[in-house]
Amino acid sequence: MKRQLIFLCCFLLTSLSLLAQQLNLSGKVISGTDKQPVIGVTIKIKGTAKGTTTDIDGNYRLTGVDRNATLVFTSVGYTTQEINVKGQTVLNVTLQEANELLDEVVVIGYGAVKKSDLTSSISTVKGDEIVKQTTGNAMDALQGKVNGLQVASGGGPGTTPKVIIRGVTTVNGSSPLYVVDGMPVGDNINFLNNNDIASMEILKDAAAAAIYGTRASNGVILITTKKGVAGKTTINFAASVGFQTLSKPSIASAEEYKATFNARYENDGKASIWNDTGATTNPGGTDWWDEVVNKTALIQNYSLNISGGSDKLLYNFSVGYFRNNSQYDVGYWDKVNVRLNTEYTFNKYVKLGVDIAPRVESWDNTPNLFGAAMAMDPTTPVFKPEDKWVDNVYNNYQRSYNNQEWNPAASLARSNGHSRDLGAMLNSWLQITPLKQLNFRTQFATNANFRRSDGYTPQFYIDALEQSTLSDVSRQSQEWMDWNWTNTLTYMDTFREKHNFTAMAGFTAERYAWFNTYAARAAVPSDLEIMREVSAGTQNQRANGDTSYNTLASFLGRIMYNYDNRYYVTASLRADGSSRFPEGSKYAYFPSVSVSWRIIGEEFMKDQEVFDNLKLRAGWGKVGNQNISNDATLTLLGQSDYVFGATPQRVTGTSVSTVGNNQLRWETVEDWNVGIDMSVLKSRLDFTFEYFQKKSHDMLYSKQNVLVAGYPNWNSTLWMNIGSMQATGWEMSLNWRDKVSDFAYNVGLNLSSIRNKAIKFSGDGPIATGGFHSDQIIRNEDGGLISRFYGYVADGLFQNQTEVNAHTNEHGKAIQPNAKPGDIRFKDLNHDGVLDANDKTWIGNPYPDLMLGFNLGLNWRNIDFSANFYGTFGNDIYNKTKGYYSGENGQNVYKGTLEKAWHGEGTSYDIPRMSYTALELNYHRVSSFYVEDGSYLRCKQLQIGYTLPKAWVGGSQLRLSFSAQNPFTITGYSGMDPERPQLDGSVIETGIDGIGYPNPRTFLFGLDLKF
Amino acid sequence: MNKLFMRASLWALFSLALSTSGCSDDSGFPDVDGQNPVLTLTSEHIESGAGHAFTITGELEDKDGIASVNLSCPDLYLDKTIDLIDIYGEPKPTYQLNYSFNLKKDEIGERFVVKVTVTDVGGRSVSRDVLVTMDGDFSAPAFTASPDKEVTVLIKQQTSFKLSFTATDDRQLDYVLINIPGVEGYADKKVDAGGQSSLTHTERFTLPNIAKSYNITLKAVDKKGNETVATSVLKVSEMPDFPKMYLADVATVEELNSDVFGVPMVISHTGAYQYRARYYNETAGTKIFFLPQKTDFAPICFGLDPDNKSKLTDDPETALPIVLDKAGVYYEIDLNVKEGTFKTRTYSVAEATDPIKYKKYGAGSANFDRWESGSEMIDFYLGWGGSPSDAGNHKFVQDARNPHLFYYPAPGDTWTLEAGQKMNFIITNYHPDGWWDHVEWRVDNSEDIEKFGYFSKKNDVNPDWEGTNRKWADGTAVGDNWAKPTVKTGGNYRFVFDAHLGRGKIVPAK
Repeated sequence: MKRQLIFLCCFLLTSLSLLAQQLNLSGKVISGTDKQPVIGVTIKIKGTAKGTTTDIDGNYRLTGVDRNATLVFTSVGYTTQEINVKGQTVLNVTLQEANELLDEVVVIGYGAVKKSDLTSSISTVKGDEIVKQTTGNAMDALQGKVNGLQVASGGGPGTTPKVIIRGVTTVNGSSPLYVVDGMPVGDNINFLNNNDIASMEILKDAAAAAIYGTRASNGVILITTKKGVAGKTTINFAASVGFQTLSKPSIASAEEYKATFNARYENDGKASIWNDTGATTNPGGTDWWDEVVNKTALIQNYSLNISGGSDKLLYNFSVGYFRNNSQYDVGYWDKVNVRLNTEYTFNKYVKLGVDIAPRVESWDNTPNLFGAAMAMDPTTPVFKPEDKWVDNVYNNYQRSYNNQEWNPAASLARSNGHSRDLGAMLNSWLQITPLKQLNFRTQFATNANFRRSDGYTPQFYIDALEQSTLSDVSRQSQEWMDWNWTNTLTYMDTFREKHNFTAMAGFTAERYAWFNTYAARAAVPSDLEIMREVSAGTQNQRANGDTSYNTLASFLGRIMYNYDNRYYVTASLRADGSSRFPEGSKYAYFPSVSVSWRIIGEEFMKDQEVFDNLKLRAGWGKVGNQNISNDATLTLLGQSDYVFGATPQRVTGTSVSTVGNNQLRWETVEDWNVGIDMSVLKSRLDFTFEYFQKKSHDMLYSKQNVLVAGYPNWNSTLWMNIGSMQATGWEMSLNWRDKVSDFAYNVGLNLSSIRNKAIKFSGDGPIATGGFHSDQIIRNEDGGLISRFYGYVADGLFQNQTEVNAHTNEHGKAIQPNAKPGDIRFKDLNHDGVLDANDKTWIGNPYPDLMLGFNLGLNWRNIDFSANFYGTFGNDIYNKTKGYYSGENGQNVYKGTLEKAWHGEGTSYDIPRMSYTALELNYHRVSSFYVEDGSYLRCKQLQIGYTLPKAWVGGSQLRLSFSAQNPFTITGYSGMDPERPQLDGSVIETGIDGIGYPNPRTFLFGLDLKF
Repeated sequence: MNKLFMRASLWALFSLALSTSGCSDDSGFPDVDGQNPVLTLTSEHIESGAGHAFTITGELEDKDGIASVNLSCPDLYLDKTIDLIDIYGEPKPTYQLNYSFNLKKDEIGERFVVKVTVTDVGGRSVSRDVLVTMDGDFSAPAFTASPDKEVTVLIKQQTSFKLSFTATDDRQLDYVLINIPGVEGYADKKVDAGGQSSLTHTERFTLPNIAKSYNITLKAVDKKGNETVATSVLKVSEMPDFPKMYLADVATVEELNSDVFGVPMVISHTGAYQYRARYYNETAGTKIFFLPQKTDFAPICFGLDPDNKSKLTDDPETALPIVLDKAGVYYEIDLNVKEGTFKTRTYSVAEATDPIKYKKYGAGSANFDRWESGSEMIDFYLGWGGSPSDAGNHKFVQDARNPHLFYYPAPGDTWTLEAGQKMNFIITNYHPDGWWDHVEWRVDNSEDIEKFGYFSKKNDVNPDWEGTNRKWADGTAVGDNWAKPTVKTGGNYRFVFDAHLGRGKIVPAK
């Protein structure tokens, strides 16, 4: 009995003690970065289904928690933390942002891995970084933030930046493949709402990109849109509104224009043909830049995001509006994006997701009138005298008095071109997880777009050389309908604790279709807006329509293995079959393998305190390129004229217009990469260095046919696998982050250098391109760097007759027999006394030796500041705008030209004498006179933000910001924008400044409200 | 101690390096013998002249290697450095200097000293002076008068040929050699110029009365050995149907040969032995002859027969000129050289037509449509030059009495041409931008101009004109040729162009 009593007492005590271990727990979750409360953090008691989420102040409360329980804190963007309660009743937690940690999950093609497990070269940029800048295209915001990524931007609404990842290995397009939530969307992401982007992963080497096989030769950019997070609904409204402005070039006034105009003739001893009508009709002169270019252009961006969910359903809804006006009275681009991403978990086996993202884009074409505004005669008034006005308002503009430039104000008034896109991305997926280790996912996505483009040119007559005899109206309807079906099966397991293994196999099918209809007529009876319909045209009826599509069927697989998180190997293989290639060559295989050694995991690194991370990586792979026309294998007939008869008459017939090649094969790029990742000083300093080489084989090239083939069209070309290009380079990044008391800061430096070389083009000799006065600026030669400028070497100006006389070969033969003091002295490189094509040499390289990104972030209490810089160094620009010193054809000149141009010994060493006849000598020759160092360092953004105390805004989070984009540029380049020439032209014809729309300065006020 | 030893060793190594490397210039080419260069000029005195080149030649030697040669003469604006290392990539132990310099055409200096300096890789240099004087003789003699390329002598009772030529030289003529093989009794002849700059020679010799051709070769040689050869084929025959006949309105052989082109003036061949001449008679009393050869009145000259002035004779010794006594009108003269007949008529300037659309363009008035749109009217006028815009630099003056007649230069202005100068032009309307060839004349033969043909690319033709675009009323046409005559004798000239006749001439200005 005694023993029974003792047992009973023990039982009761034990029960009481167990009851006493159930706690009521509360606390607050804040961010380790800014010490702000984190809303919607999921807190679960480990091993149970019990849990809660934090409220708007980051507070939470849990009842009945075992005093020894472990709580799991989870939130998107933060690393998951597990904390033992240990009997505490108040548990405050600081969550660290995931991107600061090596356990950050990185999206790779058809899967995701921890960053520490990466064996290939992938860079990640989070959505927060992207939306710091207000840009039409998310890639603009990536300048300087990703190593090896060259982004060249330009101004103008809707301009698509040129994006090159790790150099150029093909002439068939340089843009990477963009994949949005698993759906390849081509080479332009203008249509995306930047605020919808959760992260962008840039797959830089073939080891990473080979899983995308056929279209990965220029790299792949994976874009993941924002998904819902379980917990309380959060609403985020962000807005930024501001204006853009351009620097006005310094152009001569009417008075100076007249003086330079006459000087050109007087210097040559000729009578000037100056027309002085403007002195009476327009005595004050006209500032054409001010007439056609506005001082500011509005830019605005609004986004509303609602996100939340439960254990079953996650949702993220957003609506965004972006608009960018041009610097002219006409021209804009806007877009409205709506996106609903949902994910429903039926049970632990089955999950379903549906993403719907409709959009509307609209734009009026932006004219390019900067050059015309600079060249136009400033003595000419905008309009003719009112007594000469007629009903057709387009006729009332004044013809230039002294040159052939069309009146830019009139051109602006006639500018009529409008397009509207209606599109939608629909993405649905089903994921089945029959076993913990096994996952099957099938995804069907469509990307549809319909575009209507209307154009109208009014009839007008300003002058015989400035007129359009008939009005013209056109409409084009285009439809893109692309779909993609992706199926993957993934098995992931760990054996004997140290053998981690993941295998993935998949099949994809894709189809890309384009439907086009065009109709136009001339001679519309009236300029009235309602008459601008094709049916209203009365003459010259034209119509055409066509359909184009291509398909891909692919099998893919990948194996990832690591031993003890120290030794990693990843291998992938993709087999792509493309409709663009003929039978027998349709399929190609793109393998890759990469390894890494995570040295930090070694036993011998356990006791050291220098390194927090140390990893070596190496990878090799093959990727493909199929950027050729859909019908490259087909021989086609086209309309052609023949001449028959004794009295020759043209008869319309057909002839071979395209010569097909049924022997085409895939273009492949072989790529290898080695790298090292390192963290030191308690992870405050991260260092990465990579070296790579990419080389294309069987590059597809549209080669000219030999005439003896007998094809009537002399320039009909034939696609062939004949070229090879190579890009070699290195990239390095240094990132420092630290926090001192309330002051947190980070500094990042990215450096990369790439050499792009053409090993072989067509074998037909150099490719000359970039026309300039019956010559070509650029020469691409087998074995040389691409897109280099090739011309004469300008060796200063002749200052006197003695220097002119001395410019001979060794036997006294005059190299420039017609030269006079003040003309450019060109080098006779072969010393033969004749200045001819044999004296041309390489005079510039538009590709930079070094690209630099510098990023700075500061946080002090509620104030944050960020600065981003981007620059290229060692690149040259062929500055055609130096021609504005010549006054050629009576065009206006740069201000101060009379003084800057040579007018006596020692007066100038760069700008030649003003002359009417010496243009051929000085300005029409492709020469180093036009070549300038295009190096620049541009401040891409300065932003300062202030987050209001929550008490002021009812517990919500409100951040106000002011930012300046492109506020200043450090450069020695004399043109309007050193960046714009890198955007213009193809990869083998770039770096020529033809006055494209420059990158504007942008000033923005921003508001970001979360509640 | 160790530190001291290390420092001492380093100094020793440095000293050793200095002592063994020897002296060298900054360019990195070591000396071989350290001697001055050797400069041997071919000549230290060169005779040249304004508008001509002089060439300095010589042998240069230097075992160390010649780095550069400098030629300097401030008076000639000459300061040329021949950088041999730049040209050949290395210094040269020997070098053949051969450098030419062109003297300006308007150079007025008499003598210049050119300093030639040779510098070797060690920086050692040697200089020599070359004297350039302006007394060089560069021009070959010229025949200002000589038989045509083909000369016809008619068979007479006593057939003879009067050989006549004039040779000149810009400095001193030595002699002229005459060679006419096949003429019995005529030996090669050397005519001495007697130290003069000009030689005129005339002689008559007898030829057999048989149809035969003889080659005449004349060679003029100056004191410097420069020589010029003129050849001619002398044809002895009965009266032929000459393919070309010329109207001569000058009295002397010198005048026949002093033009750049256009004298005598070619006339139309209208049938066998028949020709038609049209001529604008500016002043009353103009005396004209007709010649089948261009450079001389002999051997055949058609003029009035002194025994029957209604007939023509071919004898230059006796022929009298046809006198045109009515001024300010066009004469039309039809002649038959076989029968020796001719008849004349006149017609007024108003009756004469030319291709220009005066009604559209006017003449000298601002109604030429610059843009062809009516937006801007400018002066219309003719000129000659390399393009329509260049035509403004050589603007024709329209004759006050005859609108078809144009002159250049304007009265009171001087137009100078230089011997040897090759011209290159068309006659066209002036346009400031060089556009649109509305009114344009080109020539039958670029080098030997006889006729101007109307050649409007815009097909702008006066509908009242006798001809059509590119074709005259007689059906003849000229090609798309630019005029490129070469000036034989320098001097002041005058361009006369008759748009009605399609004839022009450049003759010495009086």
